[in-house]
Amino acid sequence: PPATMVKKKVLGDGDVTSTKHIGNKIKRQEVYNRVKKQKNAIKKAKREQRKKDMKDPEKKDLPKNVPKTLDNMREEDETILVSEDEEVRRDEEEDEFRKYFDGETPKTIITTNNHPSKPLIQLVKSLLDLIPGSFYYSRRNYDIKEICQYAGERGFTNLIILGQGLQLGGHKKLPCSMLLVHLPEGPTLNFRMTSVKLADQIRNHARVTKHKPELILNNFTTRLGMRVSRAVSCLFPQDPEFTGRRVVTFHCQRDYLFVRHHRYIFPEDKNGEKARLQEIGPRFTLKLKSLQTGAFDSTRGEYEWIHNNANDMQKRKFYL
Amino acid sequence: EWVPGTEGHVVVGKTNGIVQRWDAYNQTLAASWDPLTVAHEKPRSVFFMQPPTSPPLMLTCCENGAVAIRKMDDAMMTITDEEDITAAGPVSRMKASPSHTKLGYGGKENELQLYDFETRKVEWKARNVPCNKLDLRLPVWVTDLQWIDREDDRKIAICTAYGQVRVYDVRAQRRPVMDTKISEDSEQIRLMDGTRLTCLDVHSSGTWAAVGDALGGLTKVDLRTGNIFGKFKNISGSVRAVQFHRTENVLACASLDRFVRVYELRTMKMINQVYLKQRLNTLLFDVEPSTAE
Repeated sequence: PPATMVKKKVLGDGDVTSTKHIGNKIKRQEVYNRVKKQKNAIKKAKREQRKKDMKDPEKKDLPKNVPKTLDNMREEDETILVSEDEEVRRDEEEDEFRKYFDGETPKTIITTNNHPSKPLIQLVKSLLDLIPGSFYYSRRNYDIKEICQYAGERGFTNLIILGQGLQLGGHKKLPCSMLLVHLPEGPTLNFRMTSVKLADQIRNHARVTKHKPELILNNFTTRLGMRVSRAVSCLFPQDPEFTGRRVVTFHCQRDYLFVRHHRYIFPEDKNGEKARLQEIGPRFTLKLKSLQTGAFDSTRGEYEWIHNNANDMQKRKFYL
Repeated sequence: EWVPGTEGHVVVGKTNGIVQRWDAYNQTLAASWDPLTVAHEKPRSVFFMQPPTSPPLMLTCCENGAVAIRKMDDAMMTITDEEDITAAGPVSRMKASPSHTKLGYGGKENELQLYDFETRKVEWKARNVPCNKLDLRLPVWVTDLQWIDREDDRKIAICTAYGQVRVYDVRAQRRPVMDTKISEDSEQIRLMDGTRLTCLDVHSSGTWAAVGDALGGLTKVDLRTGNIFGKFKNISGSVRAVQFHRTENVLACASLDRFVRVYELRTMKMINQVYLKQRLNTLLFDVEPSTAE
């Protein structure tokens, strides 16, 4: 048989592995398969070595062993706050949220667009539990500007308007947008809301209580991100009740805000190292579409930041 | 606005009505003037005028129309006399004409007006465009104005909060000689009315203008025909100030997203952007070609 008559050559670095010169199809296939097997063996060896290196404490941090992800390849942004900045601190002292950070208790109105569907109402109920000090009023065709004015007069500090939309190929109208207005003259944030999962849809979910939650704001790096995180933290009272062990997390990654609501417990035996979490309440994702200075004004408003489809072309640039 | 006759001194009006003169290079405060009366708050424009018959003046025009006129000495440091006149209605911007004899101003529901400084009267007032097809009066909100010819008092370009760019010829007629609308059509915001234009600067040739709006667009508009040439891209926030460089082919704009951006005029490309940590309001070019304040 032809295979035994051929010298089996082990593949080394730099060997030409082309089989173009072999005219005989059977022979060519044999050589090709052999070469391929050897190449795969080499690749596998390299892969195993890489895996070992990633775990090896000495070799782990070498640049070639650290995998490249979108997050660590993120484009350099000058607006990312690196350290305590005097100008930024003074700017924040004078911005629209200063009353809240001086000790004002938040009071939120939650409303929807006209004719809310059942999923939207269920989300509203969840949000009423999530955000302490919130009240629901039905929309009744008021203009958003009017709502801002009336709510401001009655001492509300925030306004949340949830919008709904028809999902692709579905009949249900699911929640799809959230407008967060900080009331007296505050900025308006327009979010797109996706992946809404209510408490009942979460396995082994915990019961919500009336305790004031703690707030975790993760990974807001740029100036815009700081502004969004301040706007969002204005919804929650500043004095959390730690006995309630309730925590709301706004995790920002790649310009998406992931909102989660948990009950945590530090188990006794592990010396408080790692907490166990049980998810309460709703879970959703927000994406900032625009930030408008001043209370909501759809026609004459001035925008501080608008999402532009053209900017999506830059895969490694994130704004929050 | 730069203080004439000095190098690097700027005059700034603050929202509480105080006007300050700063040395921009050394970042020190040179002088500060309190508002004349309680009514003088939220100044919209601070500028200098040199009328042929009187000493140099510094004018501060406030949103409610109160104008404080301060006669300055030659060094522009001390005030020899103060005067308080009232211009009509809410004023968004006031500027001195190239001949320094007139003041042009306009505002919300306040058409463009030319106020003659010598006779102390409104010499010319613009007239609104004809009603639209439904016989509805079109609203007026002048946000910025600029004389087209740096020598001549005759032609003025304005931009409005309803997306209109208009050119008026004072000697021809009261209605605008040219009127176009800039509308924004991004996926976020669809406006029927035209976007809110915030600032305007006319190129030294007098043929076109760069108009900034509240959605972050900076549009190049032909002032003769009303055509829109194109846009300067990549601005995320409302454009608060635009200015052309006098000699170089460059323009700079300051916006609410805390960046100052410099664009090359011929290619419409951004040359540089500078992150300044605050939300920006105004911008001025220095005499030397390399700095922008």
